[in-house]
Amino acid sequence: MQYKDWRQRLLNTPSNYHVNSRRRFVQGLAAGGVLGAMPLGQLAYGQGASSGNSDVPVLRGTTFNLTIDRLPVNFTGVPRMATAINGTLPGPTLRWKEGDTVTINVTNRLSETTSVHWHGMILPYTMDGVPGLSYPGIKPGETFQYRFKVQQSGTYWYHSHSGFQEMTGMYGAIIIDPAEEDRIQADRDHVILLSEWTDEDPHYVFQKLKTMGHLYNFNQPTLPGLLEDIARDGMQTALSRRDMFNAMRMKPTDLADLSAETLTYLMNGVTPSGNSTKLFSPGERVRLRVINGSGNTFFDLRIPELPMTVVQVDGIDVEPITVDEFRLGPGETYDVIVRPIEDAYSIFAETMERTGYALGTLATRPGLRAAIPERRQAQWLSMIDMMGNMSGQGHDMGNMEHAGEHGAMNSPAVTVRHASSEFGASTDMRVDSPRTNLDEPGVGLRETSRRVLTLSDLQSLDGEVDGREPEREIELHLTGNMERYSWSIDGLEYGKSTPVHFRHGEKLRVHLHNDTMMTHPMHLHGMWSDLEDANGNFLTRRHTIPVQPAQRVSFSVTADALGRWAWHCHLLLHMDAGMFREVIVT
Amino acid sequence: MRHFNKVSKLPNQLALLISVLVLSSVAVAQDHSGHVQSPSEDEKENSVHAESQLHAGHEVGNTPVTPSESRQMESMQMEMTQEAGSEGARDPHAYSGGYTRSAGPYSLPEAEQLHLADEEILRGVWIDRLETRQGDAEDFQELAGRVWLGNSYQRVMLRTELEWRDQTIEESKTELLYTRALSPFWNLEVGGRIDHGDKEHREWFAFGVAGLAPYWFELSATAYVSPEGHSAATLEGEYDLYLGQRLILQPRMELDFYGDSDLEAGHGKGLSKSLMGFRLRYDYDRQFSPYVGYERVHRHGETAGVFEPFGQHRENQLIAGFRLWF
Repeated sequence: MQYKDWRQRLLNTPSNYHVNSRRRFVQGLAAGGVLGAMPLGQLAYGQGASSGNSDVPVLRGTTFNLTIDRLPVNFTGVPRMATAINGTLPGPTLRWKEGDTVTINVTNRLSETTSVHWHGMILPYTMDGVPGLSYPGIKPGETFQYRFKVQQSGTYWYHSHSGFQEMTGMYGAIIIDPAEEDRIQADRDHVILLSEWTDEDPHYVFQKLKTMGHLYNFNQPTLPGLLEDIARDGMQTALSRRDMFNAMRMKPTDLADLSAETLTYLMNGVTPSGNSTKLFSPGERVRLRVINGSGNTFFDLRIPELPMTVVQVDGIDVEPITVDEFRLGPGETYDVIVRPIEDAYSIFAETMERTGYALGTLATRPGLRAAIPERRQAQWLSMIDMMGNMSGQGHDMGNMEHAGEHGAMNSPAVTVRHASSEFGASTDMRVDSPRTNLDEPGVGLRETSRRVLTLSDLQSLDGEVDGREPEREIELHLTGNMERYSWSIDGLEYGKSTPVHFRHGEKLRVHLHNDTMMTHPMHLHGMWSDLEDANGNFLTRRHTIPVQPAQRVSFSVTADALGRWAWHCHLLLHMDAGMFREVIVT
Repeated sequence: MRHFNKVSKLPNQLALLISVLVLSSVAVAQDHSGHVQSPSEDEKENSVHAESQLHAGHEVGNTPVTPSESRQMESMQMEMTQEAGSEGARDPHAYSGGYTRSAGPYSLPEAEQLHLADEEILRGVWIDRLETRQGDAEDFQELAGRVWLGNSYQRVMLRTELEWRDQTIEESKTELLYTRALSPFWNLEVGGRIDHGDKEHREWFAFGVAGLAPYWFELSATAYVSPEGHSAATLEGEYDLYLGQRLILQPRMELDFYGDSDLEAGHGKGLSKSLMGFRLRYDYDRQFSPYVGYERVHRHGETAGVFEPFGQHRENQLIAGFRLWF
């Protein structure tokens, strides 16, 4: 028994040292969150964690005052300082009305420059809140006044755009009520804001990744794993499953840069053991506004026993589609309608690399819990994540993750043009035949009987807004080098890049081509990204488009917003590493 | 004496330098394999040309690649290279319309402009090995560590190896190197090295290549030339074999060559020392890893003669120590 235990600890189980503290990381502290010394009124949300109340304040109207300050928190048993908006984490939910002009005064009480960016908002570039592009940022002690007309409706969010402040707690939800009656009718309306917390200094995390890109990956391929595979599938299969990855110096388990090794995942600022609880009465139509406000984590969200009807994505109403699970990357928002009838359901947002989860409960009264699903095993990246479109190769796919089943069939061939700057040290891989199909849920969701949402399922209710044919096409490649932990576009980090110029008023088509083995949620500021299928048919407007490994996603942009804008990967570590472009519209 | 030596050792030096250069160029060529590979390469080479296979968009599938298949792939890749290789590549600045980030409409004053971490100088401190070694004859301690400053592609590195016994440093090698990325996985290293022995002191220019070879072999090859005309070379290789998520077996090999005999400094001509062994380490997290290990040290040629009287020309050493970085 004891031997077995040691063998387990040493050989098999990932993330298994000092089991108690691991559990604390995954589960977090039950009463975790904001520490005392705050005025009572501001404690409304976090303190109630154990009793299931996890509501942040909701601010309504047209004038808002936000104060950015440090805030003592404790999510894992270690007291730390967060960066918070109005003393809560997440910051207050802002409720606006389409057509209103809103004024937001943001006061900086930090000792460093801060900023607030309104994610997905259509507004003048000087109000966009990207320090160094829109404005100089908000200096310590200063108040900056944002003022813009709200021209859209739906679920959005806001966050700091300065360094890694967002990772330390600076984010909140925005709900914009439509000027007319809301097409989406619900009896209840809840924000589910997913995020993450690390006790480490994010700058140090970044620096460590520069030295060792796989620092937080405790799901490495191992020798015992190889032996098991050989015993099960035979030598040839087991070796060939690994050969390409090893030859290319890629890890099939390189699914995320961070993991529960350093992160605790939060739902509405509450740890899994804190159990963020949202209430309903049986039979009600409940609208969940799911926002991924994390810095670096893709979540796969499901509510066991409760189908979800996706009705809005990135603030745009879509043709309702009922699914069991959907994946969302940093920056994306999904609104779903559910009709719960039992007393309690777990809202289970498992991370893509499967080391942890954010968890809350949908319940008829506080204090209830539903069964918590088992965490799934992380799946390996497959050949289509490395090679892209493998149709027409005439090879037996065998058990290559059954990739071909979802795979890149029937996609038109594309002409790929790599940038000359992709042939240097910054780029460890280039894909010459990307997959262009959008009906692919991505690694970890491929072999499931659940209905999983894919990009191809999205169809905007309002149709295409700009019906013109794009005047021109541009192609940008998402590039990186995991060994050096460098992330770039076209092999050039931001510091070496020149802006991408859009002519004011033009409509152009963009191809984002992923030459890496990670999924990048690409966020263009100031203008919509009109997602298209591989044949150029309009699907829906997005503000953040996830591009999977070896995938090429196309969208159109109507360049109707003068100014300088940011365009970047919303994985904050990738963004800061340089996977970032400036867009200039003149 | 030295003059005589100089004449005779030149060919050796050249041979050493050439071999290091060849090694490094092979290593680097593997990285550019996608684009400049002749179809006549042998099969062993083919197996590492994953990148080229990727470029050909060619599925390897479940079956190992046969020689004819891989030749086919090579030629396919050659074709593809014409189309998609760096030859016909896009200009990454072609979309700029002549605009720059620093000036023009809507731009902020220089001091207020956005800069990200790719323009920052980062640092790292590594204690690769701090260990005690129990040899057949005696015990001693060793430290191998480095400090670096720089970015993803260029760094300044101070690297040292110290060996001490009874709290007295007996031998040290200290290098100050400038490293620069040559390719995705390989770096060029140039700089200088200072050796302190118990009697002798040597200075060298250093020139080498280090990086990650296909199949995850960490390799480095460095050539040294002293201002007096001596030469030396060191080849190192290691591999991380994951027995579990935290338990890692690391085989390691090191070969030291000298272009001439310098018995005062403790070595003869040619291969002077080879070291082969392993460390079994436990990654408490990836930053702190205690280990135990074993190494077999061989002194060769003339060098063996120097060490033989002390019974140290062939030695087994048991190792215990730790790796730490931050």
